[in-house]
Amino acid sequence: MQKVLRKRVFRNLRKHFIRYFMLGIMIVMGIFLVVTIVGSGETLSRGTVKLAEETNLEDGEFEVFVPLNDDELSHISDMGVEVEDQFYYDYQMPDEDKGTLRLFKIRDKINQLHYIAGNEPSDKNEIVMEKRYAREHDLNVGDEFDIAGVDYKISGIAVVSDYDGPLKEISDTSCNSKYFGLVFLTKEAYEEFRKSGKAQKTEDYLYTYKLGTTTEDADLKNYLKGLKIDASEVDDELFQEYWDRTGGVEDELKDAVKELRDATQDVRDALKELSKNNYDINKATGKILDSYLKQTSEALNSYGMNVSLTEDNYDKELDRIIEESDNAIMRMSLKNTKYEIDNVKEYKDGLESYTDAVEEIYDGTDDMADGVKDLDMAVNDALDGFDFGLSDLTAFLKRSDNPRIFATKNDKLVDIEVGVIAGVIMFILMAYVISVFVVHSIETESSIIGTLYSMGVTKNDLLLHYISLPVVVAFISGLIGLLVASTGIMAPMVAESSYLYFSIPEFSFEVPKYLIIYSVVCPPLMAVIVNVLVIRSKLNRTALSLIRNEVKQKKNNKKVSLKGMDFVKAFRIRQMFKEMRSTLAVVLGMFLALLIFMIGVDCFTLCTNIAKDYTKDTKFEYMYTLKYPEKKAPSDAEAAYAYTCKKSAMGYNFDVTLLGIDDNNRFFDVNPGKSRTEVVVSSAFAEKFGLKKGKEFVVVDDEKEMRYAFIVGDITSYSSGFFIFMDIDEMRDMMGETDDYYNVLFSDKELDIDPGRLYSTTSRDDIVKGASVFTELMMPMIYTLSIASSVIFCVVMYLMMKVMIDRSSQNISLIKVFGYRRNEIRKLYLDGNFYIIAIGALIVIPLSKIIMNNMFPFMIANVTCGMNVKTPIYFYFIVYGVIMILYFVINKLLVKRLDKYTPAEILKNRE
Amino acid sequence: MYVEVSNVKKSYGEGGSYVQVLKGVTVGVEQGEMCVIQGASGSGKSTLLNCIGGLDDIDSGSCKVDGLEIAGLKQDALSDYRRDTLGFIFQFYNLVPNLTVRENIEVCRYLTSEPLDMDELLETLGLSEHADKFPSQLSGGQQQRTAIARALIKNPKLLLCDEPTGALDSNTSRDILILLEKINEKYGTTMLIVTHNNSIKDMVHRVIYLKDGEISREYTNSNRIPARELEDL
Repeated sequence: MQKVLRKRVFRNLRKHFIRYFMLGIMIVMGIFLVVTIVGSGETLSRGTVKLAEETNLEDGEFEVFVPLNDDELSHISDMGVEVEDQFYYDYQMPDEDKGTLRLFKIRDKINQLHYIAGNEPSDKNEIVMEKRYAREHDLNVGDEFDIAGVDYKISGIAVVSDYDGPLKEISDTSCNSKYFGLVFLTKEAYEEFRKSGKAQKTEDYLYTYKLGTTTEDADLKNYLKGLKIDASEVDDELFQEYWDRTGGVEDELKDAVKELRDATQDVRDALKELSKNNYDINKATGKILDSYLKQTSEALNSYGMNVSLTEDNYDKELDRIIEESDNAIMRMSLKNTKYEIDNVKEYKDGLESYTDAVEEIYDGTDDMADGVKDLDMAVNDALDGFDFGLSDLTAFLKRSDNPRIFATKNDKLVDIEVGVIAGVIMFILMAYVISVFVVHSIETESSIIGTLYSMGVTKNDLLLHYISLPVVVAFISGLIGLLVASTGIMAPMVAESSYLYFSIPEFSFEVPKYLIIYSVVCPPLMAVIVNVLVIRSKLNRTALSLIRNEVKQKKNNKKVSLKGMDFVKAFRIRQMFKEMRSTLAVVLGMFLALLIFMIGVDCFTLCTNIAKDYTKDTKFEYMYTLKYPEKKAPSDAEAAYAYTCKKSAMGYNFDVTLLGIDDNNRFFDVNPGKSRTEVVVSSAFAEKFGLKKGKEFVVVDDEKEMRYAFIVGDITSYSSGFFIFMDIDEMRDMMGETDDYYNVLFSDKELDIDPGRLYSTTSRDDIVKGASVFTELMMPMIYTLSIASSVIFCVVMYLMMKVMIDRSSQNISLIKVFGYRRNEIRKLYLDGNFYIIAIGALIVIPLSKIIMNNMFPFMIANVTCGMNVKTPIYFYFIVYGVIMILYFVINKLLVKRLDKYTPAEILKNRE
Repeated sequence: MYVEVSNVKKSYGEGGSYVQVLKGVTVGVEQGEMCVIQGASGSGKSTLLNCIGGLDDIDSGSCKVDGLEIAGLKQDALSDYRRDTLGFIFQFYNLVPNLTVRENIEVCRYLTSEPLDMDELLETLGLSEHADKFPSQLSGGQQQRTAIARALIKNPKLLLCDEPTGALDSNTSRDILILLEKINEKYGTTMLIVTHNNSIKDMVHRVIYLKDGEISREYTNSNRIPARELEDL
């Protein structure tokens, strides 16, 4: 039976060649699309991983103030960690662009160089240039290159895996190889450069490490954090100035308390000594006064005056005697005597007051000594609580936290996700188109199937017969799609932007095994599944039912009364109802094709919105991230406090910046309030993490091993990064910083800041350019998606509309018999589709966009940006217009097809 | 002669599958005549009807209707010929299932600027009360009457009927034939009826027999029996 039926397969293929050809084109395009996008992503992703293995990519890196000594290195080695020093200098080129070259020694073990051209330097006069910088400046092997007045010959062009994404600073938002590149010198040349003193900044003591089997990053980090140094060992004046102001307070505090304690003791001892003589002094002074009074009393008594002068009465008695005396000499003498006694008494009283005071002070010094003792203890306790010791470690970066490493791979994740999802939608679309074909074929051949049934042919025989053609077409098309894509015809275009941005070698396009299986197994498998499901349900009817081609009448068709309506309109409406399933097929096909198209649209919209929003939201011209800030911020800049935490979403960990600002910061339209919990977040942050006003969220501080919980108080329109805005004073307080601490400066003009104080400088131009990089990187994929989805869209529309017309072939033949002309037939059978497409497009364009908007965040889960995929309204009109134009083109093609339906068709099928 | 068929030959297939269906048929029908073409299966009667209707082209010979040579006409001209001159009635009605009776008839009324009156035609054919029904809601006879109404609405000069009663029972067949007779009398429509039914020949003006692609016999029926009196339908 199968042998006989197989003959029909070829005849069916011939008969419906266009249909199967178009189906094949759709599958070829779909597979080509997926294999090209995903394959290209995988090629770059796997290529960089392989390169990392070959060049012994670091597990992480750290920087220190003072190079590690032999003991420390030996200890790290004992931990099972391999370390290599990869110290570097940043040298600012004297040209007008002021590009920066990062000078390294040639690496021995970790992060080895992979040469694109040439080879390693043979002597100190030769250098190796990093690929992207060399390309940007058109430098080639053999060229001379001047660094700090020394001419070097370029012996090689190379890439290194630790600068896959050649970011100058890890906080940079984008790479700019025109202004930043790496140069590798011989050890000798590096030493000469060191001695020349031509670097603008001090040497960075960077170490890279490879972990052993038992050691983890945290173990190494803890060890390094424990390495303390004397601040004076640090060879950086700016650091010293900063350290004196901040980190050196412990000694000052301790010394001050000690001095206070010593001084208190001295005072105490002195007062004690002083107190000891108080009694004798007072006693002696009393004796002098008593002696004076006694002598004066005796003298007066010798003159016959019975007087006994005391300390209490001498004043009155002497005044009385002076008053009563007639002798002027006597009066004068007594007055002098009284004056002397007054002085002695005054001295005695003063001395008593003094000794009383000394006594009191001495008593007070006990309390004072106790207080100083308490202060001393408290200061010591406080200082013990805080680690004022200077850790040698200045930065520690695990491989996974380093944005330079696997930057290409991370970027390509988006391509892969997008390609895979486009592939899934494509298969749904393919399955759908096949199912429509199958249903149409079975309905057309219903009487044949019924006849074969009645003659004893089994359902399985028929199943096998009907699935063979679509399965073979799906298999061959998948294979062709795979083979065409495997040639890498479009891969260079898709990968080109990556090669022009990342510092990676060019990899040959390779199709991973899973894509091969996907391409050759999935299409036929999908065809088998769809066919089996659809055919089985269709073949469940009785033989007689099939012979009669009984079709269930649609009840609503009968209910619609079009009495009095213009014939052509009524006919079209009836036709629409009759072909409701085909109508829905066209609309659904349009929807699925648009869904793929919308992936490209969302990519494009996101990129352009980022570029636009970054430009709009970035109000400052310069942002300086400071390593050693001056005590007082420049008056023409806005000081802020930035602190980086982490927050995860959809399996990826993102940096989130807590930014403490004043409420009148002119560069951010934010009122941060005075709360530590209720904060303002950037719109990009809210979009990425799905936050709404009033919602709680937590960020993680890996450095301090803490978690901070906040409530979204407000969302501000700010797209350039994930920011949590809060009041700078509250943030200083929360983070235990001083009242005047800041580490970021925002300014509307370039500030004169010593480069040594800076971690990084970000200009508005950098941010704007960084934003446009997204577009440049994604454009090839957007083009590929747009072109392929447009082709798929046209094919699906054509096939669906063709099926729709084929289903009406009998009626078209019939009205041809009556004398209808081609244009009139078109008016009745094709023009009615206009309304379907017009209304269907109105529904499915926004619908597909909404659905894709909800799916899209999962496709770009690893990308650090907001989710602004809002599309301007004119876009919808353009898409709508293009769909209608496509419809008219397809309509035009199908009009020619009307000629194929001859009037004789109706006569052939009369029995 | 209104219909003039001269030495028409028609064949299908090639090589081993070559079949000559019409082997030089020559026949004529006067305007206003009802003519029956009879013959065994495969005799070529439907092919002859299709050739006259411009649905099938001929290999050689001449086929003229009202002086217009059908052979060699292009598609557009053939469409004009069919819309201006012909009406078709099929054995299996070929109504558009999703159009009502009235809408099915309008399919052909749309083609002419001088159609017959729709309501009068519906009345004549006994379809007034079914005008807004769909074909699936009608009996076989009602469906065939609808097909006839559709064919007649544009008042064709020539009505080609291919087994018009082939799918109907005896009583319904009689009703249809009475109707055709009435139309012929009322509008003077020339009719060519292909049928296996031997009784129909008694009601028409001319009878043509085809055998193996050739006219085996033809005669004018001088003793016509009204359709209502026909037996063994």
